[in-house]
Amino acid sequence: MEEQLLSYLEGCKKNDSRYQELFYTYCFKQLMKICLRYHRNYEDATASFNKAMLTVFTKIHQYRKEGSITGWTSKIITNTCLNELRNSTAFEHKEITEAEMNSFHIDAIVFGDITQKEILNIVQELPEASKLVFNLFVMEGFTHKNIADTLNISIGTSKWHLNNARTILKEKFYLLQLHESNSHAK
Amino acid sequence: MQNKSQKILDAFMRDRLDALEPDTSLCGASFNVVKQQLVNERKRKKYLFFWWFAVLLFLVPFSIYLFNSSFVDASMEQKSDFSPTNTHEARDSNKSETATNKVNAELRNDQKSAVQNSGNDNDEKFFNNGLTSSQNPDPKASFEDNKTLPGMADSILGKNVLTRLLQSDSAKPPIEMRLHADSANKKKEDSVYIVW
Repeated sequence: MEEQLLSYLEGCKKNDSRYQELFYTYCFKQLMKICLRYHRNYEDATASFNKAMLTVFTKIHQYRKEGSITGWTSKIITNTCLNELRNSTAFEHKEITEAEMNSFHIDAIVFGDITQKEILNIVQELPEASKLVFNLFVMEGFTHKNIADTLNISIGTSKWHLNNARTILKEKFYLLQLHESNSHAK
Repeated sequence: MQNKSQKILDAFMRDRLDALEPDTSLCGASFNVVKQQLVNERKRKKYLFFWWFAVLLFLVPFSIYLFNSSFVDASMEQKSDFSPTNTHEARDSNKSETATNKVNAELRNDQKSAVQNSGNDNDEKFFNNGLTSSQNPDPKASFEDNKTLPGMADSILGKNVLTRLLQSDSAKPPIEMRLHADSANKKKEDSVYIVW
């Protein structure tokens, strides 16, 4: 697949629209989920994805083949989403103690029959600030210090938002589980 | 440090969200938007390039013109500086030498004709020469007389020969010569005062 992608890449460098479409379709299937995680709806996610792909096509000659093209493109998509949301999201200054964080507990049973679409909907409904911190910490692998530097917030605020996202997710999962068990009972 | 529940939740979320397959039914329409944006971007770059090219096309010759004109102005200022030293140097140049030679030749011719046409009364001639040279220099004055009278040659140069040279297009004397003629006229007025 990587060889095929490299051939797409060469075509894109020559501004060949056929190769650009092939590369776009591949990225849409593989990387559109990044935008969906950050944005509340499909339209916003598509607009953000298109913006990122425009950057990819105009800066494709800067790709040095040091890593995979998918990784390079996903980095651009993540940065585009971050740039869009960073300025529009208000971060309340909150602090949380280690003890409060460690008191978090969830039963494995709640993960039972939840579909991918339901999970995506739950994530999209998270508060903007908590969603952003959760995505950066869990999905992108950022540390709290990296998140604090990137979003210009304190480490304590980053921890509080991550804990807040986890707590909301847990509640939603329990509610969903309850709803599922009720529907099965009927 | 994360506890076990946090780790389980994070791993579960990562696993499920990574495996997510978005709806690709609108992928084609979405690409057309990007394609159009790319075309617009290329057009914008092309226009920007042409604008810069046009600006450069105007600026480069204009700056060259400005540079040249300032250089010419500076050299003209230097040339028009008629200090005594400069006038003297100019007088020594070949051009003024040629003009002087012409003047001398004409003077000799005038002298010859003056000798032929002159009468016997030298005193009267001397008086006339001295008198007329102050107001209207006599072109028929002898070379010897001119030599003895200060300012006579200058007056002849200024009024007769130089005037003719100035009027003829072929042998126009340099500006230094004209200035010299003007100063000669001034001298002539002084000499009149002395004669009287």
